[in-house]
Amino acid sequence: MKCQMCKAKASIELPQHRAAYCNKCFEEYFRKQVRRNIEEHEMFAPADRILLAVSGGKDSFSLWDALIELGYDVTALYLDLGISEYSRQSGEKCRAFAEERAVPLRFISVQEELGLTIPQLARRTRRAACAVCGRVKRYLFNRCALQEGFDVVVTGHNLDDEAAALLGNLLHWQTGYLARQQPLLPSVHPGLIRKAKPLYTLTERECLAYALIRGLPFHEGTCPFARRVSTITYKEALNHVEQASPGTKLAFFKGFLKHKDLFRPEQPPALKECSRCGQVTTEDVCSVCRLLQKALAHDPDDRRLTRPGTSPATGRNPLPGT
Amino acid sequence: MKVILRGPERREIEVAGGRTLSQIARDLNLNPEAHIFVRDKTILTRDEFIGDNDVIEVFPAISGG
Repeated sequence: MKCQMCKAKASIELPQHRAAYCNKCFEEYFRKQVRRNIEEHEMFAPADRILLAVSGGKDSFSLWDALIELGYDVTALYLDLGISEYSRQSGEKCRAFAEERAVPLRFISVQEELGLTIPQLARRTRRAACAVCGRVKRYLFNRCALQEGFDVVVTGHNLDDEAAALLGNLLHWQTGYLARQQPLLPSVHPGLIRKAKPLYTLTERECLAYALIRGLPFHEGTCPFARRVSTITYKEALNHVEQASPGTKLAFFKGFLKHKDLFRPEQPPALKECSRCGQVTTEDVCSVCRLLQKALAHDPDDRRLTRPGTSPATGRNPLPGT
Repeated sequence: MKVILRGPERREIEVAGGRTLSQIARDLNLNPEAHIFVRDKTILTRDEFIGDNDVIEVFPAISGG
């Protein structure tokens, strides 16, 4: 099999595009896709300050590398979730990569910020760890971006992530989520930073290939809480269809974006600032503060929740000027 | 030939070589859409011939969360 660009021996084939590339041409193809997605959706401009959420896995590392190579002003943010060995190893990978490439990395411990780790929060509130984790991550990404004046929060969600989420939302007719699912979430409030997913047309396999070809030191481990989540079942099902009919995942998600108006939100909820931490919410108290309230309810020594206008866990005001 | 299955639960298995990667993947029930196959640090296409003495590493692409 030959590379369709330079006719050298191909190393990776992409049946969804009826294409095959050698290592060098694949790297170019990957970065071209990233840049095209950024420009097509006007996710951010070269002068914007980008906060990239990194987990230590292949997807965020591939995006990290691609954004650096494309010349964007990118700062990575790693959240230590407190998931024992998994978090420790992931954090080490991020630190090593940032050091090797001499690029900025913010390192935030969920335990230091909120007083509890993700497993502790999940246990105390009797909620699924993945649901707690997603909520806390969104909260801290936005807060960090606001505090440090970043223009956009970027994540490494790829085509498989988006197609699996779409399938899950359709199977359960989550019309609210369907209305919000898109590669670029614009800012609708001064306290909400816009969010972008430049990998949304690239498969997990393409991200893995890019990471291997570039020799990126990503973490191969899987979060112990994520092993039995329904997302993986949806991904496997979609890959089964993809194998029989290449291009299905891309057509599925792009078709959804084309027909997105079918899932318009009825009435956007009014946004306000959380009375405890100042982050944007639709309720008087934001979902993370409510989660913390519940988790700390049995801790009689903890008085941090009673201080108005401060972060419930750290006791300090998380937003300048509020 | 030896197949090393990478990932959190690393395993090694012996299978017959002398055939294409596509045939080996099918026998091992590994969807090529969800894996990357590597020999001597080089990614392999599905039509690659695999010899009896080769060592193939299989990287799973799917991650959860």
